[in-house]
Amino acid sequence: MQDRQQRLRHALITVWTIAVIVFVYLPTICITLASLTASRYFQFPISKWGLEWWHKTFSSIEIRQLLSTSIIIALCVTVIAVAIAFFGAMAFARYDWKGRSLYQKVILLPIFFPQSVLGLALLLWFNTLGLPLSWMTAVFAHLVWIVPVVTLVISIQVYSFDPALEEAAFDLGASRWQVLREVTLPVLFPGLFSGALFAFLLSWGNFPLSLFTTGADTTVPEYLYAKMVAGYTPGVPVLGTVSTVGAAILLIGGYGLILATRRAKAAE
Amino acid sequence: MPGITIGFLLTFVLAVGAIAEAKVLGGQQVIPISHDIEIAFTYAQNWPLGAALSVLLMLVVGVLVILALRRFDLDKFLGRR
Repeated sequence: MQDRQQRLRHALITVWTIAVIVFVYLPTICITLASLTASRYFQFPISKWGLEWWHKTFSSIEIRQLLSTSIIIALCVTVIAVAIAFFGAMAFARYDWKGRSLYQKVILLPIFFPQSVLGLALLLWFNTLGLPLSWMTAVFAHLVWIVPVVTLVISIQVYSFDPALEEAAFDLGASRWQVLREVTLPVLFPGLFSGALFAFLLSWGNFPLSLFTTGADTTVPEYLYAKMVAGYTPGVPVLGTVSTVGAAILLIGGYGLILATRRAKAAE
Repeated sequence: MPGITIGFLLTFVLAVGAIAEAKVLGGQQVIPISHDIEIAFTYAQNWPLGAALSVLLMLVVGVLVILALRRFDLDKFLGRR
């Protein structure tokens, strides 16, 4: 009786897990399938298979422009966000100072701010200040939302950082800069790295902030959205697949890199 | 409990701010507030209405977040030793 109940429970857990995985990944699979059609319109089931839309997408200069805009924005956001968030995280988790608990709450609020409203508010500000809209204002807009997220990600690593390590280095005569370079940064590296991945991917896939703040430049999510509303071609699922697969490769590669460094450290 | 609350908040905020999903999948049958704000600022050119709707949305989300964050000690929640 006990045995049967347990088996039933296991079966239910398996079914549930599979259901969740299907629910999460089915859209991606459908997009990939939709990109493999040879016809001009979206039909399901696909009547004629073909790779010509992939060819068309990759030879298009417009798409190349889109990808490079998106990549430049994401890279700028990554570098600036990690630099700011590193110090933010130190203040968040490492040091005790007056007003810290208020700071912790204030820094987290932008995460919970609806992004479309944030993009709109930033657009109004850029207009008021007379800044011309381009990919640079989009970088700024992304930073407003991504820096708090990355701060949170890095500060989780900082919480497990033992301040005694820094103090020991100081006692051994290291300067402030040496301690930062030789002790703090290497110990916190996994946190910084995952923070950088977060920053890149959140910027890469961001739609609401880009929509309002890129001006004449267009990012990949914006283009996809615009084409989905009007002027659909199977180039849309092609670009969607490229964008998703690119993000997945980055994520898996980053995870692999962290595992490899951890293993190398353990082998030492 | 803190984890569940933060998870609830994040989901709520992401859902309330999602324009693209609501537009494409909603088929213009249902207009959520974030879409309404965008309409007010673009097609309708009724900026004061859009601003008012934005403030309303901000107030709802802000009150929820502040109420939730006030109840938890972030240090304890994030695992300070």
